[in-house]
Amino acid sequence: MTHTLHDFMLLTKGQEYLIAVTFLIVFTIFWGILNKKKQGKSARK
Amino acid sequence: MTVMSQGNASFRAWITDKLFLGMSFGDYLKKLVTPFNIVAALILAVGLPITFVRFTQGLGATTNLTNNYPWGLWIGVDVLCGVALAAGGFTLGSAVYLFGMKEYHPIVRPAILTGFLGYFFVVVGLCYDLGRPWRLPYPILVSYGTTSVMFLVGWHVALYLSCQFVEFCPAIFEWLGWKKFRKFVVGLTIGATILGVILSTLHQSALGALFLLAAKKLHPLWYTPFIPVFFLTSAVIGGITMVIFESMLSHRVFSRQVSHHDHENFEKLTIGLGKAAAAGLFGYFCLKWIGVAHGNHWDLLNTPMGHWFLVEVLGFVLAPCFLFVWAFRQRSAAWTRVAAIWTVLGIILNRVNVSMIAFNWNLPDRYFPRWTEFMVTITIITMLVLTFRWIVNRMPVLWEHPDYEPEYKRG
Repeated sequence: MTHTLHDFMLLTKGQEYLIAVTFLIVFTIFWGILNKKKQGKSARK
Repeated sequence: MTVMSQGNASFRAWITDKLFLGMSFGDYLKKLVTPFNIVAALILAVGLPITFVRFTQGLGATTNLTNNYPWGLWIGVDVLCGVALAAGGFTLGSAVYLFGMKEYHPIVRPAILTGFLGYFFVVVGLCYDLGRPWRLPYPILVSYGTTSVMFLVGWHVALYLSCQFVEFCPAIFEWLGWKKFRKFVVGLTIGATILGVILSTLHQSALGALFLLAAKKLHPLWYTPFIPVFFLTSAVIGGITMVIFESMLSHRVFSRQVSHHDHENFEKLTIGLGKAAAAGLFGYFCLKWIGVAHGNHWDLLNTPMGHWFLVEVLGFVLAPCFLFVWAFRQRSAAWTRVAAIWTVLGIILNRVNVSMIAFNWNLPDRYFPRWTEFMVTITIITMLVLTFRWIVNRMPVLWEHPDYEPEYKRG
């Protein structure tokens, strides 16, 4: 619950930064998964 | 007399070669009778009289628009979706000409043509909504509204159309055999591409910025101060996926023209574009949540409109993103195309949500387009497809002109 504009800004900006930092971390994992080479199988069309 | 008759004969041969694909006029007309053309003719037979009614009797005679809903299907689909899905021209153009990704050169011309025609028919769709098409040059030449987002959009669309025309000019001059003109416009390509990227960045986001004026009318889950960024990001993704979709159709419909291209290379390009789309969709997915967090609207997610928002974000952003990843890892061009079509539908859904479904969401009387509005939209899409086909059948879009092949190979 927020009572002042400062509280609201602190809450929402905090959430935004958390999402942004999480995104940066998850994106590196995502990029790794995307580029992970398949092993043992020939590439299909 | 002999010189005149020779001149007439060569002019006739030129017309036959360039316009009638080397056939006589009679043969050309006979060849036009195909199931696709009959359906297109039926659509135009209904759409063109509606156009006449629209321009003679106004919006009231052909639309369900009201003062509460001044923008309907024509703005929501023809303009907003049209501009977003035509972004493939600047995306591929900058990838090839600015970032040096020369391997994508075979698909850059169809992408630029799709972009150019997409924008051109956006202007046509806009004319249906605005009326009085002869006043289109007013914001450019007569009356400036420098404080309006519309002013920016008007100027940018006009300038960007010109840029795309310059980028496509080499194909026109190759078709006409005008080598000097071609050489001149090829020299302008990089400049036109740079200008095109700048203009696209601004007007794609400006279309989103239009909705900043309607803060209280748009549902809070869709309204955010970041909406210009959302429009730009989703347009880049829409452009890439539309290129995949368009090249899939082109390679089927015009397979005779592309037979000399290496089929495997085309599959590789499709998969490569899918990888770019996957990364873009993942970024866009995260941005959407930043938009929700910015207004602290988490509680709205568990409402009917919130569920619809989740359908859009999870079903049409995250799900195709995962399908792109899977398709890339499997090196499957077919699944990449499925994901591309899915994403294109997602972009259309987003624009329809912003402009119609989530717009005035709390009013008791909701807008639903009249059948004539749907018919005009279908007519515009049909005209776009017919124009695209007319150009591709004549100009070196999907194939390389033999006179310039060494130049193509150099990139």
